Amino acid sequence: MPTTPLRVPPTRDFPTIRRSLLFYRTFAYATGVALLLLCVEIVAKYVFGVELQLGGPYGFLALVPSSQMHGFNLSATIQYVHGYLYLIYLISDFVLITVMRYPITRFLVIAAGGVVPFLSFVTERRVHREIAGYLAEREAAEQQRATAATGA
Amino acid sequence: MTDALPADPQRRTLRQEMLRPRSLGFLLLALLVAAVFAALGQWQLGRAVQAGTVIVRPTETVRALAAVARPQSQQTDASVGQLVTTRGTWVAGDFGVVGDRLDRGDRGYWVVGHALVDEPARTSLAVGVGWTKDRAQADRVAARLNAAPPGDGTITGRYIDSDPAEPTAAGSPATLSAVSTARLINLWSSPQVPVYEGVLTLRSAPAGLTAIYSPRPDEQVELNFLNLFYAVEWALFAVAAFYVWYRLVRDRWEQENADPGGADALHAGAGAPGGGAGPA
Repeated sequence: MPTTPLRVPPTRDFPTIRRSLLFYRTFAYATGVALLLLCVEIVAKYVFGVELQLGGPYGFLALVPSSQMHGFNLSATIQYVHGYLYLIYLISDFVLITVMRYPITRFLVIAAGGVVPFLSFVTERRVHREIAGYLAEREAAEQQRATAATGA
Repeated sequence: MTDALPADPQRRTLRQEMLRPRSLGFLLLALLVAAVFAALGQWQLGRAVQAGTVIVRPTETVRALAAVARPQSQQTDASVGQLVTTRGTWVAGDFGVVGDRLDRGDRGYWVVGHALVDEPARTSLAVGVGWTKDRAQADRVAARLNAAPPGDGTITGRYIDSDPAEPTAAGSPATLSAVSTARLINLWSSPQVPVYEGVLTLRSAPAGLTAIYSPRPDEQVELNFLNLFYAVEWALFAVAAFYVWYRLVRDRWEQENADPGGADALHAGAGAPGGGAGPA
């Protein structure tokens, strides 16, 4: 269900909206991928008790029990990276709903999309299609009006 | 044309909108969420301080070994790093060399010995006798001590953790690279139980070796910054809960108070000529 903007974004904001949409899209994908990696990492660590180690005594990349971690802990890094990416994702979400003059509930829906595996990809697709469609429609109307004005 | 709108008696101010029962209900929800977030923040703050708490121990006062540790039981936090003294005899033939020992940044060798201490009688204790940079020198000292071990006497030094028993990483498997009581006990000529779990590093090394660098345990108070950061984050989330409430109310107020003519023209206006430029 598309959300109607509360107020109408003026035409001069369209480039900003497009930039914000790209910003949001980039981090929706990045966070989505990081979240999938995080899920694998959590299962490996808490179900099988192993973590991914970079450059330890067992070779370049190795799955080792958590207690025998001597090299660079790639599993912990996945956790940090996902945390920071999600933070930027929330910022991009907020910027987007602000420039689009969407209600705050929309922010919460998009934010929730980033914590369920795969959902951020679905949310991103829907949001992108909706906003791109909206902008195109508005621009077509502007065009039509301009043509009508010169034609008259 | 907007000026021509009649003053609507139904029209509320933002303040009135905030005081409506529905808005107040949402405010209660926001308060609840903020309270939960604040509690989580408190918890993280507690963790940050707790992890930094240090129990001050008199590690620099020499105590009797039997008073801080017991044979055949695990090393306790209270005994690690403690200066201790005990009496005992050295076992001839049980002096050996352990490689890969760092001493103030220099890689070298320890000569490690096996003492039978008096408290309780004939209990084994692994002792780091001294350090040297030179392998041949370490071997010479170990051979000399094996031939003629020092007589009975007091053994004083710092009682530290045993290394975990690990396979030797490189070279001959007989070469030790860790001072592990669990491994040493298998190499001693006459394995004696009971055994002390930890290792004693001698305060004064015999001739030919330097004393092992064994500093007092680090007791600086450290705040756990990760937990502190989480605490700050929860506080921000609590504030954000109120912001979300404010936006909810304002959005609804804006929607209800939108100039009907203008809004229609604008929202439908995507397709209609003359609709595009709305009030910013």
